[in-house]
Amino acid sequence: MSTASILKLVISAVAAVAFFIAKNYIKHKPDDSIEPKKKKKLNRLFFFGLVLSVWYFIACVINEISGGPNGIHVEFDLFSNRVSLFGFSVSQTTVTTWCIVAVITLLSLIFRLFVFPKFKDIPKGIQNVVEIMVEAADNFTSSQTHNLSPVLGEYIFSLALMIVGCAAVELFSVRPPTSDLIFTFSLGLVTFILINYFGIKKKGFGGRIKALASPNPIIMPMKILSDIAVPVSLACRLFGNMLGGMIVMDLLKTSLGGYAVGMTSLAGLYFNLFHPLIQAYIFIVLTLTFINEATE
Amino acid sequence: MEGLDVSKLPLDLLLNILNIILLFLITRFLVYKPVKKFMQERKDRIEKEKADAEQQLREANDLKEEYSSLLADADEKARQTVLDGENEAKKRSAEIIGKANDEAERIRKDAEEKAEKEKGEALESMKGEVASLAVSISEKILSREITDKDNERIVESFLKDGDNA
Amino acid sequence: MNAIAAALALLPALGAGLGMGLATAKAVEATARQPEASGKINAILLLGLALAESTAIYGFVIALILQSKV
Repeated sequence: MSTASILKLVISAVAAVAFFIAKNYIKHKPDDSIEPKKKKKLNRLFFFGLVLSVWYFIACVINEISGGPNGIHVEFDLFSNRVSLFGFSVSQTTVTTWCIVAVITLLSLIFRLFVFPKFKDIPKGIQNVVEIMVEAADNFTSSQTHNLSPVLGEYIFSLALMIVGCAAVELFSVRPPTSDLIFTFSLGLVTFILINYFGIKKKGFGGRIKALASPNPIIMPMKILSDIAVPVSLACRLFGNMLGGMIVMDLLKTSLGGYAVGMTSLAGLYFNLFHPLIQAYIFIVLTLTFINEATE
Repeated sequence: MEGLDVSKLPLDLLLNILNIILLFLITRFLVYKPVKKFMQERKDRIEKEKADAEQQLREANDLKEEYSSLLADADEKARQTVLDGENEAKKRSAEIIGKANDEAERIRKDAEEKAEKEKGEALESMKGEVASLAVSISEKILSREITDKDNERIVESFLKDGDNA
Repeated sequence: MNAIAAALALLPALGAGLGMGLATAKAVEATARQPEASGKINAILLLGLALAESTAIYGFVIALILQSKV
């Protein structure tokens, strides 16, 4: 704790207190010595000074605790590191996925045991939210695939919950599972299995091969290649977007050190909330589009 | 690349796919199916209530038609009865008036006849009394005996005058 | 060499930026023509933008894989 840092802390604390007292003094003074417009401007100025000095104080405290800013040099692992669990070495994303599934199970149990028996005819509150979610998943699936199967609606519901859960985990500065190529590739594999399953169920095995060779048998290899490219492209899209968001947030946090006190929440509003939701929506829409195309 | 363990790749993929299937089954049985069943039941109940309400409305309309036609009939009948009553009353009154007129006529005739008869009777009695009175007066005046012939002659001339008068 | 390859792998972002700009221009024109449909146009625009960005993301992923090799 060098004298410079202690000096910074003390000065910022004193400035914060001074601004606060000045602001209160201005508010409660009898308003005949300063006219109201100037009073409001002074009020705003003192508020700004208060916020700035409080921010600087917290930044200095955090810098003291965890070392200063690191500069632009940031390290990250492309694939998440592995932990050792019961003698097996599983990757960290699997453990995070287990935690997400456990949390969602707990919430579902609470819902089933306490909220569901109190369902009324006219919904309000939590019942409204749950009904909207279930009905949105169902209607969306039915409208995109022309009423193929009710199981598909349930799968889309759980997939949406999973990706939203991954976005929520990222808020706690844990590496989200969707920024791991293996996890998104497994999601793409499930989509691939679903496409082929529904295609074969609807058209039969011969019909599926015939659809691959449909205008002209010459283009069959290209169609097979584009069919294989579907899950790969889905996986890469989700992985790339999530990894990019995570890198930007990491850069912000490590290169600014303690000075990034308020900015991470503002940037996290886009990179950790809005962007993953859009990517989840894209993933689901593309899955349904490809399934619809395979069962035309 | 660090972190990528190719020998564990199938295991990792399998674990992740199992995780996803586990989440799918859990949300299906705990959240999706009960809510869907509840919503379906509610929709059925509302459809049934609507069908019931429509049927009741139709029944009510039919009943209303029937009642309004009955009411129209009753109205017609009532008017007819009133008209009949009026006619009856008019006829009755005419009858009564006619009877009363006849009765009055008869009474008048009776009274006239009676009056005539009484007048004749009175005249007759008056004739007799006046005759005897005239005889006694003439007896007195003449102080002589009037014979029966003179008597009759005087009475006749007196009556002729009395008749003329 | 890896650094040069990683830098070259980011060239597809040019095409992505151009395509997304054109898409947004057409969307703005459509909204100016019929402002009531702006909700639907917004949804379609977001879908199209995310799809057009995917090629740039592929280049980004390849650049990352190339850069992390020591």
